[in-house]
Amino acid sequence: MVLEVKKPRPLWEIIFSTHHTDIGLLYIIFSVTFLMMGGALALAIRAELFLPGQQIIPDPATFHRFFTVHGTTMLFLWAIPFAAGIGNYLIPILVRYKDMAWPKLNAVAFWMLPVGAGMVWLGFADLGWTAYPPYSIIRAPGPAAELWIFGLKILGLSSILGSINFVVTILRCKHPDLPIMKMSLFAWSILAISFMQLVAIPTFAAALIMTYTDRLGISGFFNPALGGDPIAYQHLFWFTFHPEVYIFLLPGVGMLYEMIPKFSRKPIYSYQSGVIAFMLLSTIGFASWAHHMLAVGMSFTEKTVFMVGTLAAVPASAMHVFNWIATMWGGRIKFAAPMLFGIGAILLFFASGAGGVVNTALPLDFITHDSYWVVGHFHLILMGTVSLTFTGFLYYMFPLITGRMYNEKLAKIHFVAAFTGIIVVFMTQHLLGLYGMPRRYFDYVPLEEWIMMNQIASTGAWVVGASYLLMIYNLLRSSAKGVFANMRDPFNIGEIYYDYRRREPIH
Amino acid sequence: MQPKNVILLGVLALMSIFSLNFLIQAFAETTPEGYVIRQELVWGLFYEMMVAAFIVGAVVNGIVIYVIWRYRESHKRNRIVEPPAEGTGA
Repeated sequence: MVLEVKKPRPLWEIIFSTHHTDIGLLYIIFSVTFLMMGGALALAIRAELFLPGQQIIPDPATFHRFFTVHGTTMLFLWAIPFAAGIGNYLIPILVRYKDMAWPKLNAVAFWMLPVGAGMVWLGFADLGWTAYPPYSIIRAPGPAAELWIFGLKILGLSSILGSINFVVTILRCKHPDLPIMKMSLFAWSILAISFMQLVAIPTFAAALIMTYTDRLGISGFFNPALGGDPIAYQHLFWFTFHPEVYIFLLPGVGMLYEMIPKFSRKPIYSYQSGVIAFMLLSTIGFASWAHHMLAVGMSFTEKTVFMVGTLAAVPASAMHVFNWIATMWGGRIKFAAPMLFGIGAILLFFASGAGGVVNTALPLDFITHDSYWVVGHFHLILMGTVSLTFTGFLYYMFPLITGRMYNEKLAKIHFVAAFTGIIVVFMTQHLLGLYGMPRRYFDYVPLEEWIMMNQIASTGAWVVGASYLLMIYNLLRSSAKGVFANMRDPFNIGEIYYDYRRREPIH
Repeated sequence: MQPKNVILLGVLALMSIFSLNFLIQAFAETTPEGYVIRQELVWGLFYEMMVAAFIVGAVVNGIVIYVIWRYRESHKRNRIVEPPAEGTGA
């Protein structure tokens, strides 16, 4: 894309391109757009909860629609497409191949996203992003629910096509002079999540079809009145979506492995341990799905197995953290905005992980289950670790994409506001959970503590929202009027940047 | 297997057994009075785990903060000092 600055091209040429950098750019623009849209819904939810009683959202059903579409958007239209976008941009560069293995398939995978996104947003369903039966099969109003189901089918198919392309590009198109154990750890992370998606998504695809046929009344897989079992849906759902947590997380970990050595001006401390930790996490991710369901009445043995399976992720996660610390140790760290976001993400990674360990301990899960503690926990991992890393990497990629530099001062203000706001919102939500506030409720009892903590959380959320608006302003303005970047070393760290000239021979 | 690994595995096994015993107590069928005791056990476990999490978190995040403070490029020991040019007599 750097050539767009030197030699502008008409928009349609980018839109209909099959080149990996163009598809990557489309993915990134798409995902950041939906980050802002999903974020707007979150701010509306926080405004509603600022005080007890009805505020700005007219009724509980609409409130349910807001958080359903917010969750679906942030997970499937922000986190996954952004990782796919960066993967599209970088994987062919990192494995030294001219493009993705199947460029047209790559374009098809991207263009399925707006279709799926349109269905989710036009339907504006109220299922919750988990779409648990029996509500989703009996009472949830159509056609919103049907649009959500088929929107998710399309988004899942897009992920499958993208994953196949990544696996083949990395394993079959990699340059013969590049041994797999010398390949970038970011490429390893994309390889790991691609395999995970290929294993995980078909299960949810089956569950969606079963939900749909149950809604039509021609089956009763999850309908207790017809002998079905709603808990079976939860097993199918979480078999896909617990691994999906790692599918959101691992690209962020890979991005940190790109940024930390460069900004620390030191090689990665232990490349092998990074690879092993990726393999461990992508395997262990499938061994812990039922920890989301410890309260549904499983046997003690089953619960213990899933508790231990969950805790098994701790050592693998710790391997990454210690690798980052050891990489920074003895380095000469430059605090450009991407590195600040990376360090913020590492600090919050531990905090969110500790909350997860509490969740998985069986007796404690009964205290925290379905409370705001859980909301705080998973938002801390998704906003505090995943989104902060993604945001930092967006700044890191900005010179490669546009050939210009963003405004460093505004980016640092963005970091401080986002980091502080995220701590204020999600730590407070942990406390709200311990004070007994249930999640997904439109209204709440006017207890003084609950009101105060909700107001603190809402204020923090607005700070985060404002900081991301600042990012959009910074990136839009800088892409048109920013200073031209020194493309060999845009961050002035003495390290070689990516091969930015790779488009030149093609066009 | 090396002796230190045997000791480590033994300690881990003992810790697991003790924690399982605690969990079984917490989940045991009980009387209304026992229910109250069970609640106390659960909150006690919560308190202990949070103390442990805060200590480990403080150590790990403290190390991260120390590392980024000590190895930042603006730290006085990390500044690159230009060698004096030859022939200046310095």
